[in-house]
Amino acid sequence: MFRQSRPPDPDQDLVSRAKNGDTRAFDALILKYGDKLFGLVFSMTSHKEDTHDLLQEIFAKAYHSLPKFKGNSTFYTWIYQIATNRTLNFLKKRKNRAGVSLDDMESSVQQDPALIDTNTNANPERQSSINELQIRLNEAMMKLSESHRMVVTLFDVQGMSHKEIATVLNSSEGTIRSRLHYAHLQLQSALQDAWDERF
Amino acid sequence: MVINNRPRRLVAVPLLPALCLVSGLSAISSFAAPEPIKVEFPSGTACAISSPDPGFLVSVHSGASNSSKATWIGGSNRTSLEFIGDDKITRLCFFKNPNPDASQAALWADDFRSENPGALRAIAYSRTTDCTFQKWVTQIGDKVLPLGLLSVSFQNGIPPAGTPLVDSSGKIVGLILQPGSATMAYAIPAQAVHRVVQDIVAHRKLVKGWLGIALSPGSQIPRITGVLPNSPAADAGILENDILVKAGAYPIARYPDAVNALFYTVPGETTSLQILRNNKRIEYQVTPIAK
Amino acid sequence: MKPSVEQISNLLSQRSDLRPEEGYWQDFLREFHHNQRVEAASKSAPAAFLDRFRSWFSEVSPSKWAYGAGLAYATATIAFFLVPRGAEVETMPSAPVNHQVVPAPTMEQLEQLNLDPSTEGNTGEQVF
Repeated sequence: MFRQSRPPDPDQDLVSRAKNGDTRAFDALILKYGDKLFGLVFSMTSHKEDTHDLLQEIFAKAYHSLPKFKGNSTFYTWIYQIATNRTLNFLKKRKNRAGVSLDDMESSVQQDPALIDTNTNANPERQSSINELQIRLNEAMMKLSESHRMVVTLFDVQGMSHKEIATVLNSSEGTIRSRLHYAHLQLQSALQDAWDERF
Repeated sequence: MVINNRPRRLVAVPLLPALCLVSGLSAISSFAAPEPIKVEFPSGTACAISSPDPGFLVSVHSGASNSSKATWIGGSNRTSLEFIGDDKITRLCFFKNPNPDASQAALWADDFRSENPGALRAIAYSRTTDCTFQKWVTQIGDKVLPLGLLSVSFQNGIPPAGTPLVDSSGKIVGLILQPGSATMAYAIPAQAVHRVVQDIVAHRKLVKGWLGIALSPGSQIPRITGVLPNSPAADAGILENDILVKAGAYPIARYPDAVNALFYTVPGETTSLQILRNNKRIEYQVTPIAK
Repeated sequence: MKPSVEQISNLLSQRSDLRPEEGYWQDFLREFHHNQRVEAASKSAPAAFLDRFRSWFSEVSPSKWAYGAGLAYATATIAFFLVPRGAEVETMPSAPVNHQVVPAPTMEQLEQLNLDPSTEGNTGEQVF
């Protein structure tokens, strides 16, 4: 029986060059995945400074671990594994840290321009309602457990498939589906009042 | 001084279908036609039309300092127009209407609020051009405008500044400000003309409403970065870090929307401000003062 | 009435546009390279060797420790003489070579409808 061939990793060339010491190649990988990972980490932490520090840590870890990357998965999957692991570890530590309240994170969300739609053509009335819903949704997201928040972020925000998420989180598809289902139920309940007011 | 007699509207109505055929306009067109005139500024020609106050003509000047000098060009006649006042922000300028007969006054919409592209017609002194409202513009590049403008697309050339844009009911919804490109022009919305003319009539200049709230152009979110002590906003109970979501009839999603909304506040006229504080929407009644 | 799962999903998918402000990644890369330089400089030659020494031992099975000990002694002696003291760490370029550092644009508030591209507006807080 022939082994099913995998599509080549689109980042193979950059990874190879980076492994050989080409720092510009690694820079290119940072720029390629930077925005998506920013979105992932910020969705999980809701804190801009923490996001920045975590991203530095994630890319540093990837850089130092490059020699160990054998290409058994795509670079994309591999960097996401590093990012999710680091983020979940960070959040566990943050939970135990004194002085970080939901209020701190809420005010960070409200102040951060990254959350606002940059579409200059958006209907202001509709956009204003959506902004408010996004703020409430963010509050609800931060009340989910980290593992539930992670699957929602990867599935609904980042657009990954159940299978991809299972690979990244080293879990089964069944577990991922079940976590997602539960998380969606929680978010539906949390947004009920805000939904009634707006629509 | 000879002023060309123009056909009175009441007499023209029964002849309208024939006039439409002669002028080439579609017989089923629902666009009625205001009657703009050609004016000449030292910096160039423009259109002028009777303003929402029929005692005044309104046009748009280039921003040059001698915009107070305008001549009405009617056929072979040239008539100096009496300058009343202008507004530096909008570049709207006003002259005494030589023909203030209300029956000949142009019809103005109260405001233009559409968010969807739609057909309009530009009625210049020389010709009529179909055009399309595309979207609102509150920011160009990294420059935030002092009020929102209409972006209007044209297929066959851009009419001159001051050309009225009418909707399907024949009401003026905007005035051409200037071209943005070969096929697009910015236009001042009708509500801005209303806002300015009321002050021109009363004060010969625009007097903006002042609330005492500070906002930062660098931030996309319309968060109030400061409330001046003893200001109308402070008296009403608005706090620093409140997020503006609505001012008067204008919903606000970003800083440029806030700037547009606050352009329309009138000193002495109470307006409602809705803010978001700790995820709660709160409405305040605030009376701006003149500043 | 609760939003449907699809409606929740739609709201969440709008966050896929979440990204940092313009110019962020140029600064990020600068900091990243600086951190790598600092880390590399903090690993002196003997310490770097010790790392390699430890990692070699971590891959050796317990039953081979005796063999490994002798080999390790020999390796340490040779490395001590071969690795130069105070070796300079290769310096990275001060900025990423193929990325232009572009300052983030500052939004300006126009006071008038002067749409000339050369028109300058006001930066900083505006009072209304």
